Amino acid sequence: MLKLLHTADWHLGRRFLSFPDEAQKKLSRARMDVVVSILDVARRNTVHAILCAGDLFDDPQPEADFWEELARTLREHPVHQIPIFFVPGNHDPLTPESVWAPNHPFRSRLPKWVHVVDRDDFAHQISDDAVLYARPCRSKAGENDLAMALPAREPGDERLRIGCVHGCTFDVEGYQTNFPISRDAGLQRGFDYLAIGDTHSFRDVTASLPVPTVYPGAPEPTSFDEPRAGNVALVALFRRGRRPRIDPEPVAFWRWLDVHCRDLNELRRVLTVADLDRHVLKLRLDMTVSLSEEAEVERILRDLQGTDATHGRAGVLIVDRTNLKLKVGSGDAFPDDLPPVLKDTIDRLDQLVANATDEVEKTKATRALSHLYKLLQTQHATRGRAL
Amino acid sequence: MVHEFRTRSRVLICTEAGAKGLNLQFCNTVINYDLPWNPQRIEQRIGRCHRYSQEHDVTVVNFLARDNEAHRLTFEILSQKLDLFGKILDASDTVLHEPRTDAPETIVTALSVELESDLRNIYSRSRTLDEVTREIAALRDKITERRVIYEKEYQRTSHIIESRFDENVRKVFKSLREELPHGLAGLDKDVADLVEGYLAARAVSYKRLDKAGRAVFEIAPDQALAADIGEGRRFATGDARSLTDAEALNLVHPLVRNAITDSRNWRGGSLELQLPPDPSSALAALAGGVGVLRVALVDYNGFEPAQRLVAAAVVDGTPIDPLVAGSLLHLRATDAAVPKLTADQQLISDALDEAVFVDQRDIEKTEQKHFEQAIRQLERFVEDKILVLRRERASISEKLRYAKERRDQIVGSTARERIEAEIEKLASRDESLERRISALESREDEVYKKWRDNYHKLRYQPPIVTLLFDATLQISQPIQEMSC
Repeated sequence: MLKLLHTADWHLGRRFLSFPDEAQKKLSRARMDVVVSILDVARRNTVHAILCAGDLFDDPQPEADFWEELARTLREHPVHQIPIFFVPGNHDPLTPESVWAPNHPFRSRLPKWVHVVDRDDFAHQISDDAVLYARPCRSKAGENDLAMALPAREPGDERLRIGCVHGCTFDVEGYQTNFPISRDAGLQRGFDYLAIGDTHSFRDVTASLPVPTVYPGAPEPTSFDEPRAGNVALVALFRRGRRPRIDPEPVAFWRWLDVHCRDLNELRRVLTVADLDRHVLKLRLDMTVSLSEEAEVERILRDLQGTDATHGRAGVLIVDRTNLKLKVGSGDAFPDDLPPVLKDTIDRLDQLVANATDEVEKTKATRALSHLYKLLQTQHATRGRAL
Repeated sequence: MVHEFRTRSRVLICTEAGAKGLNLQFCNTVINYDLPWNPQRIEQRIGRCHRYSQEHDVTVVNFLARDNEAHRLTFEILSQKLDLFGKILDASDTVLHEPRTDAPETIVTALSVELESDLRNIYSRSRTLDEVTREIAALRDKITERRVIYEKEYQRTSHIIESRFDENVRKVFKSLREELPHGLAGLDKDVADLVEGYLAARAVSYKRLDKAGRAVFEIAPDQALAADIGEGRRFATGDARSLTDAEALNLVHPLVRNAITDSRNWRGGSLELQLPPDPSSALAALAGGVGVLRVALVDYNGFEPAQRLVAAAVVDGTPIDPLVAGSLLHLRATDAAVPKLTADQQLISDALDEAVFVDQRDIEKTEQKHFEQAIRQLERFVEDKILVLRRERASISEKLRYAKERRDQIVGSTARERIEAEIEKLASRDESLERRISALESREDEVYKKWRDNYHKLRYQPPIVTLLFDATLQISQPIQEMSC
């Protein structure tokens, strides 16, 4: 039996510029840390080879920090001697200036069991009866089917044949045409397993065909729309003609969760999500709340975000408040036993809301009511009372 | 003054000025010759003596005019309603040597009491002593009411917490309760089958009766059985507590132990496996087949080390599904003269690799959960550390700013040197904190790395596969009756 670890789309060096500094560091570091876990999974499962099907770097010329760190990890990890194959993808294509170019210092730092697919006719004998064929992307966009460009099985060749390329099988709606891969390319070219990379969710695109063509997905998710990201694929190949066993093996630290909250209950439910501290949580608040509900919204957000004194319950929190609206007027948020001066102020603000001729005036008066409510809340909290 | 009091004098008389800031834990008696109306102030006074490292009970003496009803009521509020002198000075002090955490200020805050201003209002608006007494009695009743509500709420909250906590515990117990009978029944069946196989292999005459969840064996006296089995001739699996007419067959019973030892010493051979009366379709499809069975022991190290038996089989030249191969281990086996097969070693070796591959997936789920939890705890530890160091840095930065301000105002050279030295020390501490924070943020911290590496090592050790035996096998048709 031949065992492979198939991975792709590490996107080392990716920046998460829309996130706060602290979160950027966390996400960037996780991307490098997951490499150690991938190599660990390979060691635990005593695989015969590790296939990396493209987009290891987010850019063909990543900053030195990233390739130096990767080379160091590969050299120092105890997974020694298991051959590792790096296929340049469309994000990090093989060009004379790229990190994959033979004269790039990254190449000289790599240990000898790491092989870069830097030829179109790349072939490597993994074991006596198994051979790997691979082909690199040479540009950011291309129309050639790299899988169909791999050599077909010769008559009489009984070895296990594994193909490894980067590209898209175009069964996901909305994906642009770039390095297309025929869904039956594995079958047509006589492979036993076709390892591909591009989309970030784990997917066996040929579950009904005898030759699996698999996306292992990104080992650390990169955005919110990657439902089965965070895995590598463990592949067990048997004698020719038998469909290999493929299992996703989780390696990611972060889970990305996008929650659209249309009412307060939906927001409250977020607090019950398990392992919130491992989540990159995006909350889209799309609701209209009363003054007292607004206070609860703020409390929940503070609970998730944390303060200088406490950690937030969410690992990373992004809040979109664009559609968080405040109900106009005081409603029944204020208690009846307030001093006359405050009651009077509230009444006047309510009047302003009622008589406002435009939305800006209405919003201003409502915000003033909200501030007053918050002030009273703070005062009551200091005295140990609830408003 | 404190030094004088600690080393020579026996009594320290203070005005209200002594209520704050002094550490008098070497002293254990406080006499309040007046009683402030403010509970926090009373607590502060007591707190001079009743603080960390106090080794004795602290006695508080309050002077009270007995015939003044208003004073008596005020004291009642302070002592009984607000627990000012009760809870903080209880027996736990002598054990813990530290003040309790449920200090009266918690109760005072929880009850929303502003005693001092309330009393002041009472005295200012009341015209007679009777009126004062009546008002204070009303205040006491109001506080009593609030206290009752507070305690109810406290109880309710405690119950909620307990019930939520219990819910988790209950879940564990529930799953144990649900899984245990099934697991025990499986174990009993395995023990019974093992004993039966052992007796059959030694050609001992016995009778097996399966009834009410038990397997009862009646065994004839036989030289083939070891002496340590004893004189008893009737054995039964299942709950030993309700067993009256047979010896309980459990894992420490000599008969079972002998059967286990005997099985462990088996080094392979030829077997006939008998299908049960109602085999699964996958097993039924194997009826009449001949092949090779390979059994290995797999040691999984990790957060929850486990040892598992893994079986692989090639029947009629075809590797069978690892799960079906695993179920072969539960079939009744007898020695048989199966013709020697020239098994394809590569096939059976691949089949075992596949069986281990499949078995490992099952183990990995639990291991990954433990690993993720450990890494999360480690991350949380680092985040906490960063938070604490940042706070310390903020405090140092404040001290540094203050020290620099003082330096700018100092004229004398000695004083200037002293402040320069202080600034240098603070700056050096600040730098060292910055380095530490930076190391923690980039996860280059040695302690962090050590623990992370340990967890990775624990989680990702490859399993150790030890081959136990190969057997040629023949699978017979389903058994029609269960006795011999």
